[in-house]
Amino acid sequence: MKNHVRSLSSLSAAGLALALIVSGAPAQGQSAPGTSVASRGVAHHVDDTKLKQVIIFARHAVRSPVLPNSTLDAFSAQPFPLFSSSLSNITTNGTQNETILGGYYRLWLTQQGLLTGNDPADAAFVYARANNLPLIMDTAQAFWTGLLPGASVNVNSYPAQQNDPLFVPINAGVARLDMRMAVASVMGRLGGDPQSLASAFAPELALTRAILFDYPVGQTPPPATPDGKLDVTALPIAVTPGTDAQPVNLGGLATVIGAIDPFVMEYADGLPPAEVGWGHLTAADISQNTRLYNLVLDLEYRTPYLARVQSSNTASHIVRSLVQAATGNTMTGALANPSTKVIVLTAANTNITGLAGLFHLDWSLPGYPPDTCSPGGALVFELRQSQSTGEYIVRTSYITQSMDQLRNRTPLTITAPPAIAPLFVPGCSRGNATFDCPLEDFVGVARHAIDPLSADLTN
Amino acid sequence: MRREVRRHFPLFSAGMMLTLAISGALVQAQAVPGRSRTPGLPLSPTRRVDDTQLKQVIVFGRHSVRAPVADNSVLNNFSAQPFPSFPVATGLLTPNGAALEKILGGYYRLWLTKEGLLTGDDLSDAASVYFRANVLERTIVTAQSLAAGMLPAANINVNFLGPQESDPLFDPVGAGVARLDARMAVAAVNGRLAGDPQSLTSAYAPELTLVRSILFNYPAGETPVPATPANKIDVTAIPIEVTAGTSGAPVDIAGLSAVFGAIDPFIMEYAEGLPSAEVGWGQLSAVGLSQTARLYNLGIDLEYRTPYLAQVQSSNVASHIVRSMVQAATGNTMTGALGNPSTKVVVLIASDVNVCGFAGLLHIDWLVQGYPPDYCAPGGDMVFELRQSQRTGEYMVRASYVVQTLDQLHNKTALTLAAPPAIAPLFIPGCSVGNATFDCPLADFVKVARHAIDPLSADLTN
Repeated sequence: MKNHVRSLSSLSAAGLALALIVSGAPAQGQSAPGTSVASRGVAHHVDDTKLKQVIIFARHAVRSPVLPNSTLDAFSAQPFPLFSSSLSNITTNGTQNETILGGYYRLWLTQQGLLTGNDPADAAFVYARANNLPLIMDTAQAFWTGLLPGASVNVNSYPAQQNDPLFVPINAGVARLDMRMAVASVMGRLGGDPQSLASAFAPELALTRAILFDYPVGQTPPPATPDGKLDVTALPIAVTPGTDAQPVNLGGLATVIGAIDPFVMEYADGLPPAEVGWGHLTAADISQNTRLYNLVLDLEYRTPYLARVQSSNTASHIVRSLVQAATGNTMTGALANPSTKVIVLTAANTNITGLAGLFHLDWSLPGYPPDTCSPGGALVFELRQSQSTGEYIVRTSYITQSMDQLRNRTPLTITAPPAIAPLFVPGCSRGNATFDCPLEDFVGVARHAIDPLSADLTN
Repeated sequence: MRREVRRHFPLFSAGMMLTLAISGALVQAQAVPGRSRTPGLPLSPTRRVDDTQLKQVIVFGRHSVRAPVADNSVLNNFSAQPFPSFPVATGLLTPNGAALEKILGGYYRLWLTKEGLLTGDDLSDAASVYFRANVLERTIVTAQSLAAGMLPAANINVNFLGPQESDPLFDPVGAGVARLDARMAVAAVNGRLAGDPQSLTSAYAPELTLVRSILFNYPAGETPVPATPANKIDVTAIPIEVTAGTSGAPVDIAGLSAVFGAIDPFIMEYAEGLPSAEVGWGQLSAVGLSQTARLYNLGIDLEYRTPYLAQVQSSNVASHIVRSMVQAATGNTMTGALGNPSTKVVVLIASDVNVCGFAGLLHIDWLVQGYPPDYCAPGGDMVFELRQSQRTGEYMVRASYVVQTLDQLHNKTALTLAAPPAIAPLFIPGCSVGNATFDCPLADFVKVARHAIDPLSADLTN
């Protein structure tokens, strides 16, 4: 408990420091006339803001399944299909989709005046960072090929055997996970009885079993498990201390996730219909199935204690980078430098989910269950400045190709964009259509959300 | 924007007042040696022995089983077959609901007697309880039934306001204590749905498909999907949009609210113990029931757990609960608390919207077998125990969600300490420690509440 109290008091100390440093920006906004309450309703209908910086925090592109087929095939009546790559590497189509997506951002950021069309010149104002897995570094390369095709952008990543504190802060030694708290914080969302998930998610587990064992969902009695196969949906669900890879171990549920992980990728990679869930999985079924995947992400990365430990460092760097760009002064714990206009951080769904959970952000887009972190999908933070008042605001959205845009490698343009979910930032966003959030309030919300003992001040 | 900023300052001053008032308890805890724990070390073995004593309990619950809130003359437009009859009029507590709540009250009696909070002398114990119910018949009778089970020999006074009044604890917006900014309310919900509420129809397609098949009486998954019967309304096909709400709901989720109305009877049919043929016309399994309840939960989540809406609608009840605990811990009368410093049992009975909203404010989740996650079932209670360590004097809060299972409701199962209702211990984010009961030091609970509560949405009335 003492530990806990101390962490709270250092939180406010760090928060104060942040508020102090950011105070230059709000002062600019407040000194200008026209920001009063009375004017805000009408004045905000006209968007007089200009994009000053964008931070894109993205998941990697379409990949092959995480588990080898030799393992997966023990879970299914029929063998799993082959991808153009193996073992959690980016696929050929995934690469292409990512370049398409980067191209969309190019169009949008050019329209917004953040990019000029002169790629070598623009390249001086961008910062690229990717977690150090081949899948993620390849994603970043493909994305930047679309975003700045005329320049060669250096993607920053840690050497292969090292842990990037931005994306794996625990392994990097920046954040410390208390295993007992980790287990308690998840158990305490499940009534202390994780096995209850089997009944709460019975329809999804029944669907999963039907697909894996190749029978019509709803068939009664359900057929027996085929000889020599493992029924992943019948494994006991428990919550025990985790490993390096995940904060808690969810027992059988982790195996379920391994078994269903290929389905979204089969569809998104454009495999023939007969190879998407062996021809049984509709797009609606994939969405329903994905609920199990999201359940695990929710428990492991959105649980408040776990989000704080695992996502504080990313959150801190993102907020400090926005403040650095707004004030124009180099700031500890920020990325790149005050003139950086485009920051792209590429990582995994666990990272995106955790950051969204830390800020209590939700979204829902057609074809995906709520809060899904789809391949290539990104949380996008726009730092914008009002041209009339000088006030800085943060405008947040979640941007992702739809499942069909991925599957069909649909070209994206300003008029045929990816799916865009404007996000309301609780405690900060205003009531306008883009849910604008004043930068100083964003700092206030972040100050409360971030655990300074789980973040570093490295630039 | 300026107003937003101003809202944040009183929060801190209110919190400081709370901390001030609680400082007696804190000092007491800190003055005892041997309490401190080195960070990083596992909790000492002595921690496993629960040396705490229950000093006060606050039960914040939903009413028990009731008749559907919409009249059958309305509901029957949504279904191929007529909805079954309940023994009481629209929205009223059923006699079974009253009996079930008395059973639950009897369980609390056994538990609280074992914990030493009740003595067995009902008449003297009656002086140490405070019961409050929202103004509806179903909440008042639920509270009276719970009292009858808990203290059968006493005549407990249940506090409630007049039928036309708004109780600031349970309807703070209606009572004028909290102010809802309708534009913010719509934005806060739309901003969780990508500004496109209609996308919920694909996100919840399996549930909507199931509901349609139950309502129109065909096997789920039948293809082609049968047409809507003549003169009936397909509630699952009404466009979903979020607009400014009415006095009854903070936002209006058109389309989805019709779905809620149509599925609301299902859980009640089962919990009321109606014959199988009258539970979803004989087509709803326990799994199907739980699956349709997801749509109900979706509505509650959007309307009451959305952070802005939880803050406006649940700050007042949160403030009163926390202040009541501080009052009991310090022994000093406190503004904005319920009962008095010697009150041992506080019972607040309202609706699922109140209980779920309060849980949302503190980011509390639970899961009970047979219900979807975070479901606020008939008679289900959030229970806050104020406990004191006998060794160190430290006060802590232990929270749980206590609820009869669907089958315990359906069968009117007797409850005892050996055959209790479902009990989900609750982890309170930012406060609970890592032990099995997720104990939360009172001082930390006050801090968490201080941040969660909007003081402009709470009053200091006792």
